[in-house]
Amino acid sequence: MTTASICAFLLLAQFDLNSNELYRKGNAYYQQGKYGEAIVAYEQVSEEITNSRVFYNLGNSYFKRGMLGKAILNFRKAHFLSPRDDDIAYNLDFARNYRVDRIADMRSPILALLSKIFRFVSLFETQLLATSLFLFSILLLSLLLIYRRKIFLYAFIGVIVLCLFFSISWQSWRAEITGSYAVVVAPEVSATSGPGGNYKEIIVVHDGAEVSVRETRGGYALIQLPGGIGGWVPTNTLEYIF
Amino acid sequence: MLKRIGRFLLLFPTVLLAGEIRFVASVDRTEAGLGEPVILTLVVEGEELGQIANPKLPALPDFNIGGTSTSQSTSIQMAGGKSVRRQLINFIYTLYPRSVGESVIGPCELEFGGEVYKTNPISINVLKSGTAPSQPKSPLPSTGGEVPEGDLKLSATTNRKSVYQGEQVIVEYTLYTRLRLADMSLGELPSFNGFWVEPIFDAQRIEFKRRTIDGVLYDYCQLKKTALFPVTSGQLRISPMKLNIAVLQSPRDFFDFFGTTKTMVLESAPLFITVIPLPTENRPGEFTGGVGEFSITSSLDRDLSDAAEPINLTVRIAGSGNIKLLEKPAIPDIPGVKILNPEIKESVRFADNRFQGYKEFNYPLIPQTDGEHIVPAIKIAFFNPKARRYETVETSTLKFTATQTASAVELAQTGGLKVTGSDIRYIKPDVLHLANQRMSAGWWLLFPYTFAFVMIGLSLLYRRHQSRLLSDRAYARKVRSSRLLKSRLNEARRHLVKNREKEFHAALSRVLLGYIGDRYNLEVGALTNESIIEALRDREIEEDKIAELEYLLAQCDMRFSPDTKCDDPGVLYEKAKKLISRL
Repeated sequence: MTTASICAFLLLAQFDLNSNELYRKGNAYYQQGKYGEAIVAYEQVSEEITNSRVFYNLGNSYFKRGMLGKAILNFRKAHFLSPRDDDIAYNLDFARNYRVDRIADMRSPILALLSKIFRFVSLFETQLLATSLFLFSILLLSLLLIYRRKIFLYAFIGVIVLCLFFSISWQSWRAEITGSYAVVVAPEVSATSGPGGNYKEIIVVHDGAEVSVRETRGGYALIQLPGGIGGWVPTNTLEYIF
Repeated sequence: MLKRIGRFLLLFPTVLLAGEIRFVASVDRTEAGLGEPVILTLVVEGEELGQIANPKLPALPDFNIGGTSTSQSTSIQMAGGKSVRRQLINFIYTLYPRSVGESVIGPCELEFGGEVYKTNPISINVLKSGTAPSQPKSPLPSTGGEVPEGDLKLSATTNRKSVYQGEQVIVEYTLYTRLRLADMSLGELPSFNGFWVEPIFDAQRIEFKRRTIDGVLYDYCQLKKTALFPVTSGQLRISPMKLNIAVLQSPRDFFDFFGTTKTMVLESAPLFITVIPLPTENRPGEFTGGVGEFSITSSLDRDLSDAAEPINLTVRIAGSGNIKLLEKPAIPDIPGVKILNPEIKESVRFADNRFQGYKEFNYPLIPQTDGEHIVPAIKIAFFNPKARRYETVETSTLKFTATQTASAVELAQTGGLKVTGSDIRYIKPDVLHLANQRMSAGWWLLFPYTFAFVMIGLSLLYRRHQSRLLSDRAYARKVRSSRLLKSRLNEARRHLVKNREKEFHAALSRVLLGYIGDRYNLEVGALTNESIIEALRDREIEEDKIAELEYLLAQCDMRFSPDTKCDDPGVLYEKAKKLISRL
């Protein structure tokens, strides 16, 4: 029993070491300008380890290779894990500005600001915060029920409002995962009015366009761009963020 | 009836065995004037022909070959429970006699299934003067039933059979008919794989015009005309166009008043184009993919730039050929000037049977230093398919003057730093250990929530207990009694251990009376033993318990009479405990 667990531990350690080494190798490749090799190394690391650094460096490598869609995809993953990282936000913005399609941000500035505020903490952080605040608020509620002091009521209201804030943040992040968002990873795709090659072309989207997938049918996906316009594209031209 | 049999008999000679084919040559006339066309039709008929090679024409020294076309029809027949695909392919050649006298079209050859089929030679008598057909054929013959061959065809033609990669080929699809068509729809478009397609004409509706071909009046309609620019080399095949056609057949008898229609699929012949790759030797470095004839000019929109204002350098490549496939020309470095990516404009039209126009590259130039800047000659190379060689053209040099660039650059500075470009931020450095970041919490997150609900439940219960303590006197006594009972029992036990009998009896009596009081909500302090028993009897407590209590109380009261010996205190203690638990 103990031998087995020790063996497992050693194996895990070995695994970790390999990923770390691979990551360093990827960095070395990047420094030499061998972006293709760096991509391979980082991709391998990202299969073992979920870390925003890996996704960020991977995004950088794809960007240097001119693969905008893949770059944006990985920057978004990194941003999801570390939303307060300034470098990730900067490079994501930078890559977005390189796209062929100039899709205007249709959101109102207030909404954009709100999203920025609510996404100040990552999903995992907000989950922990919301849960512990909820527990704390329940504790205060219990105290209020037992001792009936006004102070507990005020404290409870304060904490529950904070808890609500993080719950909204939680939901906003959850939508990112469950909303089937994807990035176009082909240089140019024509979106048609139906799932197949023989339908009328509606719009041409390019590498890096961020879309939401409404429906998939027989190798085709109905995508929608931020403006609301959309069409059917082959699913192999898309890559889901989560 | 007789007529039907006759038709059947006519059909009879064409019944062939599987694997056999019929290969026949015919001409539309055997007497023609000099320069007048003679239509030679080679008919191949058979079952399951599949892909068949073009027949080989004999050497025809006495004729010019004007044009060729093919038409094909397929019918599926059910015979003996099997379906058999029957194909009929017409290869049509237009021949123009070159000399007067007897000219012979030798036997044509066709290879199929390892065998060579030959047609009979045909001799044509060529006259000096034209022999205009004395009797023009009826333009719309009333056909009895079957559609006669040659009366309906979909011709696919190209103007070139062999081109260089990137050179223009024009493909045309035209429908010729001498029948009345009831309906027509597109079955299949030809596929132009390997070509850059530039449509010239697409028929929006069917409008027939009339034309006499070789003395025969046809209704014809051009369906599609497209310019193709091959992007790969080799033998490229253009799949045939298919039309679904319904032919109106004239009434057979009086009762068949409106006539009937016969639907069929009309298919053009596939086209084959040989694409010669561009030569790789002597290919200049300035080659930008152009095939055709081009010229290049350049201009600047101003010749003075103040405060680093951008100047537009326009490079225009004009000419004929694959203009849309041209890539941007390389602009040589200009010291002290930053060249941005160009804006591209193009304008192409089809005229004189070829695409011509121009492509404009608009490069914004941003001077970084003051002074006179020279834009060197910009060169491009293209392949001229007529001359079969690469040619290079270049622009003349241009110059402009920049002033006040320094002040403008300063404006773009932030905090005294010169911003010269932008790029993504650098990668994250190595770390000792890459930690696994959690994307989201696992199922264990449910625990705190369940715990919270339990906590709320408990505090609500406690709350209820508190309020009952306040409002329900009996409940309060009951709750209090268990706590008091414990301390009183402990007291009694302490006296028992220390063997102080008197104190033990007093304590035990307090235990019992206190418990009974709290349990049954009685004011025991004011009652005698007898009245307590009485009160318990009123509450319908079982007699044996009352008797036990009576005995225990009596034992406890013996402490007041010093002479009497009472039972063992340990036994009394146990008995009291047992009684309390039973009450």
